[in-house]
Amino acid sequence: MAQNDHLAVPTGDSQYVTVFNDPVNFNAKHPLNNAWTLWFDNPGKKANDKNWMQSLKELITFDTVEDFWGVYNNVVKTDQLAIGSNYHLFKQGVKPMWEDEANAHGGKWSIQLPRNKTIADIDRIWLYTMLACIGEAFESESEICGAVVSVRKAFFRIALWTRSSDKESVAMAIGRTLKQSAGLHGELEFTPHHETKTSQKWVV
Amino acid sequence: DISRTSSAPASSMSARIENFSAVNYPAHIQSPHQSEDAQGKYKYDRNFLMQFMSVCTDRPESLPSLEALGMDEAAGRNQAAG
Repeated sequence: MAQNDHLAVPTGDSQYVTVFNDPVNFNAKHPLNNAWTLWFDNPGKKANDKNWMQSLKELITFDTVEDFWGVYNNVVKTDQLAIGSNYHLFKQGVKPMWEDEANAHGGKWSIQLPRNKTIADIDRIWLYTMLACIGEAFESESEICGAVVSVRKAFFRIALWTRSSDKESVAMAIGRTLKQSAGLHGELEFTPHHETKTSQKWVV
Repeated sequence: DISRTSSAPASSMSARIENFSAVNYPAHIQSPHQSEDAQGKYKYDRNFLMQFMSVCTDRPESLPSLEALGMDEAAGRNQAAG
């Protein structure tokens, strides 16, 4: 039908109907620069490698702002997750594990936040971390692989995985942006996924 | 679940915005600071993104059930543990 054609391919200058214009019959979404996949794992008490691989679940991939929020609004909030579980938000095609080619030479910025002092804020911190990723807040876009929130008995950990681990100025800029974007207080530390000969320590 | 019956049509027929200057946001909505940078990348600031939070609430059809993922169990156990 003519109306369907109109909805599928907006052509004129004023034919975009966003979700703000019409929450039900919108015809245009905001594209993300990258497609992102949300993963979840909850290996339980016996958290060995085999159990972890089996418990790692690919939830969904999205590439628009609207679809991100549909996902966020329909999964369990971070402060409600069981001890031991993790959310991973990674670029589509990058598995959230060291073995993936994109992570082979990479590292991560991370911070551990005491559980009792962070429980009220952790969902917002994780949300802001995800928004920095999907909104492309980081200067070196190609350096970003994904982000992880880990729920543990005594702490939450936020981590941002990068593609490389040998460029100090690039890494420092990413670390500072993460700290500011997610509203993190305290020291973030950069750790290469694999041991390196140098013992340099990068913190922001 | 009544809300699910109306969720499919809009999303399935939506196109990706390509020309941001052609988007007319309602007056109370803050436009993105920088939707495309010099390299043509899509960038959105947090304040812009947060405006979608209360609007885009429909459950994606391809999202697995929380039961299948063990997430409902996870949530319940966490609450029970206090």
